[in-house]
Amino acid sequence: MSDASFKLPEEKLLEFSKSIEVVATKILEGYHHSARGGRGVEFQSALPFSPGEDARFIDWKRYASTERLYVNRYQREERAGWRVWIDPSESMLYENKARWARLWAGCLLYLARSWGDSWWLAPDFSHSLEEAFRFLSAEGESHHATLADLERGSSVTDRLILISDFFLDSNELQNQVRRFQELYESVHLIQILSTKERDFLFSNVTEFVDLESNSKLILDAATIRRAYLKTFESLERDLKALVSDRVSFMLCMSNGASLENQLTEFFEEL
Amino acid sequence: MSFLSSIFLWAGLSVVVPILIALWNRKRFQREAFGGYYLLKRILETTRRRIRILEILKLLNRIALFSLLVLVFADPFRMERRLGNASDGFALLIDAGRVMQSPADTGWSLAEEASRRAVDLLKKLPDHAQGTIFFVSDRCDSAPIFETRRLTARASEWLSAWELNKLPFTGQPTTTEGLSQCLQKIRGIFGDQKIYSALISPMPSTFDKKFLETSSLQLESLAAKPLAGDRNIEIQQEVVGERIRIHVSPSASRKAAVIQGARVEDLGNLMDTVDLLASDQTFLWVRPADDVDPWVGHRVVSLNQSSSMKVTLWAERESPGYLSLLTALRNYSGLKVNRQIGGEPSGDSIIVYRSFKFDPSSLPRAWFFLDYEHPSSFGVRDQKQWVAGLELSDARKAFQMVTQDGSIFVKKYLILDLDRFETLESFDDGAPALLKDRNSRDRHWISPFDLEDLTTDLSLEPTFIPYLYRRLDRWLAVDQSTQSGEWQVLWTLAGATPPTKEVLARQAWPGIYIDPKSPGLFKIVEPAKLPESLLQVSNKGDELHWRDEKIFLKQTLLQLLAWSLCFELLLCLASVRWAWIGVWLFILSLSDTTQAANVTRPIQMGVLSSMDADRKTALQQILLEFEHMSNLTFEKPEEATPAKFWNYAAIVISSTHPFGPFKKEEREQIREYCERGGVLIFDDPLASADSEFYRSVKKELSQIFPGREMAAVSKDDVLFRTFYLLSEVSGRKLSSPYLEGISLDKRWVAIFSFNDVLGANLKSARGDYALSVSPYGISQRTLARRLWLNLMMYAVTLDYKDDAIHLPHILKKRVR
Repeated sequence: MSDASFKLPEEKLLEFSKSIEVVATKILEGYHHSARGGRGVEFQSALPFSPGEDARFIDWKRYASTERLYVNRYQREERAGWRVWIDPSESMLYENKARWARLWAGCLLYLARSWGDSWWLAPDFSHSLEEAFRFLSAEGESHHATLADLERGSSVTDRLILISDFFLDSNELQNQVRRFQELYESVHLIQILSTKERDFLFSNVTEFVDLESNSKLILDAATIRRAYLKTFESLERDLKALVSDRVSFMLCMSNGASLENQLTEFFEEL
Repeated sequence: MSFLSSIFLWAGLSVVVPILIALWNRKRFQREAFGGYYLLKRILETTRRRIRILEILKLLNRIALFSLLVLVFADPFRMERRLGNASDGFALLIDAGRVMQSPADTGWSLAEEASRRAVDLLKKLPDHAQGTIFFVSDRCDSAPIFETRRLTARASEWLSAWELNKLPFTGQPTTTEGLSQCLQKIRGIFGDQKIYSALISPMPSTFDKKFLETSSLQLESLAAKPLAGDRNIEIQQEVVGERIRIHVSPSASRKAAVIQGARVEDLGNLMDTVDLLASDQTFLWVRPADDVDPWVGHRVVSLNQSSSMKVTLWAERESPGYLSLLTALRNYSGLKVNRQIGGEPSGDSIIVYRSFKFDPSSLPRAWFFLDYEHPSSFGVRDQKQWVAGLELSDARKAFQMVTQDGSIFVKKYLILDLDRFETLESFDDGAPALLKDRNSRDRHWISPFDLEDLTTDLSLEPTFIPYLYRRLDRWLAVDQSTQSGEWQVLWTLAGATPPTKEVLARQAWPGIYIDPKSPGLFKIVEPAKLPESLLQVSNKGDELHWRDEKIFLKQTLLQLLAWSLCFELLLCLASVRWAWIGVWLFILSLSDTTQAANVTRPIQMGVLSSMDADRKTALQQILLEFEHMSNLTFEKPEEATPAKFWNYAAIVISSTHPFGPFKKEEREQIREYCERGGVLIFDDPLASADSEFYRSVKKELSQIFPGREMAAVSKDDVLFRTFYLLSEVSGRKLSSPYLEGISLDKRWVAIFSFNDVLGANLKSARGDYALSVSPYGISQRTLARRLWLNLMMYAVTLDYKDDAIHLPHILKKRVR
């Protein structure tokens, strides 16, 4: 058993928050406020510069007249809303998929808060980021909010982020996404997978256990590998078929590129 | 089934290995709580059954693979009964005549039935036995199924090359003459060896029953349905204005096609009368709608030519024979015959009966019926006067005729085969083949034929009339195609077996042939009549004795093993470990040391580029024959330059052109080749004691081997006993009783034959000897063949037969 099992919830929260902050700050510094896709920005206030702040935001004209350093703050003209849903199914517990999904969600919430956007995390966190982080950092905790539940409380100015492995019935998902397109400004499908799930890196006779139903299958992995990869490709094709001007799809490996890179890619494509 | 190395069968226990592996794999699996279980479930919904089958197949294939491997090493064999009579060789004669297109009892055509019977027989023959297959119709054809045109092969080789559509079934009647030709060829190949020979045929009545009963052939009669008999259709024409009205009787629905120009139009069912618009070269084909044999009842009629043929029958004076011939000609439908006695013959087509005094070369087109008793300007008295002329390039058509007063008359003539008049067949120098050339279209034909000796009522003569009419068909057709080129097939009748190219090329298949050089010119080959009945012949062949022979199954098992490995490779695409193991095991099983011991290299002979083409052909033919006469095998002779001589066991030179001259370095190369074991063999194609070729050889050799002269080879020399024990030299003409040569260290490095040994063995494309040998005929030719084999053997073994160990045996033979 690893040491992490013995950590107190507060310690876990702190560790989780730190890792979120590190990633989110880099995103903020790299893309400034408009990179998240806002429609315009408005000057809010100028505050005295404190060491450690980004020097790019210093108002140099004011410094020339006053010889004091001020930092300009801006505010979005229109506020955006971010609704994040993490797949609560057991299959997300495979390897570090769940943790990766929670980090993704945490970063998104942090960034939303930084930009002054409204946010919401399933099952129902929208006010206290700390509470949301507490929920995300608690590995054993889950929720029961289904995709259908996301139809309630929706707003056409909100963006819906679905974080899942999407091991779902394709038709069902397709219907659901169609409904979301009417209810939300945009829908973003973030697929979190482990390398083993994508490449089926097994070669011997293996007993596969379902994380959800605990049912088992003994299979010669070498024999079914081709069939598995074919089925996986078919699933990916179905997901990519959902992509339109209001629906995006992104495949993220839980043990692949860094979270920062994945988020950067996500925001670039927004 | 028995095994040569049954000890290996213990290794059969290894078949449990894949089973154990499969069970082991089942027990020792990894456990994985897998996130993509959803996908696995989706796969299994559709492929659960397939995966299960695949796993079982994999297991079964691995068991099979192990079993096969064990069996390969155990070398299994089974005992089979094989025909002991065929140990020294076999010859299968297959009827390829018209009758073979009839249906058999089994519903197949007789051709297919014969093919199956031949295959069955071949399977019963000993594996090592070499033999030949001939096809009998009105002639004897060798089987063209081997590209190399080999005459003999093992039974298994025949079987592997056997294809029904490559067998030369023809539309010609099967005759005793054709069978005789085949038997002659078999004797030529096997000599006096006792071999198994069988005739596969329904035994049509066109065979001579007595001939069959007295021959040593094993008769394999094919059961055939009763022959359809004569179902001739009567077709009459009547000109009505510009149209021709055709009456067909007996009136019934018949299928017909009309051919105009190069176009064939199916008329569909034709009732008793039809009107057709006649134009040049229009033909009508009619056949009954209900025929079983595809060729029974076919008739062809020319719609405008039949009344235009005019022939003058000329004789010096009238005789009973002349009148009979006149009657016979007048009974030939569509032919107008003018009668002329004495005077200058008039007309374009003249049949000259018996003696005449005018210049025959002035006649535009003539057919001479000559007899031996009454001298004419040709003066043909007996067959010995018909000698192949060397003066003209095309020996097939050129003949030299000696008149009674000793004058020589040389002209191009076509000499017809004389059907049953077999005295001309006694030529031993290829002349029968020359006489059989039916495709020649020369202006003058000659039939040495004494009509006065026959019955005066020729219209009743059963031998002469069919002969006359068949020839008339060709003669009249020849008239229109004097300068024609190669005929091409316009349309052929459908038969039970498709005709081969060779059969079509000699127009032995019923159909319409067209001359591309003369548009609108056709040749029609009508189907021959079916034989009237089938003979009931009792088999008088040798008693068959059988013996058991081991048939090894290793090759079959290796093939199965290869398939099994391929299958395994397919199944193991993901897991290549098994595939590698399989490949290595397969390679191991192939390493058979017994096969390595059998590796032999054929002997390579070289020829100079200046060698005469026909002598090169003769060399090739004779080397092929030697493979059956000795244990030597030869490659096809290749052209060689002095620098490359070292590649060849011997260099053969036979040319009408001078030998050399060579450059200095070439002479050195030749000398080095000879000093290191090579032999130069010279054969004078002119068979002259002092030809230019001989002089050039002598001169050149004196420069290659300075100080050495050509000397006569003693009759006691090893050259005369390297294979055959010979006491004389031979060749096409006996112009010198010696061989000459140059020796180095008691070894002949150059041997010169004056007598054209290769020419004596040169064969035409039809397999007959092309040149006559004189003065001793067959025996001289045989000796020439033996002498050449001795020379070849000398090139390979040198003076091996001089070893003392051979002496007692040679002396013993000499005493005999």
